[in-house]
Amino acid sequence: MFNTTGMLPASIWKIAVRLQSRPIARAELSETAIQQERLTLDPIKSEPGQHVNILYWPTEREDKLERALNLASKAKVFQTPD
Amino acid sequence: MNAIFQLDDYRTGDALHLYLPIPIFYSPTTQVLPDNPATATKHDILDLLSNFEEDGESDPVSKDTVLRALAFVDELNLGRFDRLPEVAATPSGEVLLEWIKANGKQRFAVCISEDISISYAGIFQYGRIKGAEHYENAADVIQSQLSRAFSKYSSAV
Repeated sequence: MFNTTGMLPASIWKIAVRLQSRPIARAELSETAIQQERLTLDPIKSEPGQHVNILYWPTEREDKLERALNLASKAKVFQTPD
Repeated sequence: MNAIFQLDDYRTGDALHLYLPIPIFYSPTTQVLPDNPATATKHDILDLLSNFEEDGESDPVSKDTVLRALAFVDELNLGRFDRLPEVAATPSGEVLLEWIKANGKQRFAVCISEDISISYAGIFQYGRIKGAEHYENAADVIQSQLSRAFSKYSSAV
């Protein structure tokens, strides 16, 4: 995952292509959505374009599923432009 | 807004697979159900054995986990539901089945491993659920939960 705060879509897609030659889509999540699931970004403060991870997932599988489903339901998906 | 996005995504069937610590799908289209939903889903599960790509972080799905997932699918009556589950492997080597509707706003996921319990979680119009059941009882419980949101005979989209 990457911090894309303030980045133009064209710049975001460049990152996608750099990592995956033919990306089919990307999704956006707000930092607030992650905080609402009591998860943490690493690093907490990052620069636009910087790689970040989501940490402190619960160990119980059903708890992890629940939080991931909640994040997925809040994610905004963008198909690769033609 | 501090927006972040996920790049490690790829196409699995008709869904966009977002590679979080567990896979998450976004299903943009209405599915056409095959004649035998169980067979189609079991093929997808078996494909997990051959489609594993070493990335240094993920565990492969074991044959025991696949066998348990196949047995679970046999016990579910998939023909009663209005769509097939998306099938994926988690980075921990579990089998994930996920049903999605309402543009991703309603979801139900089942996680199957070599453990004696099968975990599940769901987001429905009427609320959220989660739990874990012994694998011998899991199909009945999960069938019941799934029927509340994904029944072929429901009018919900």
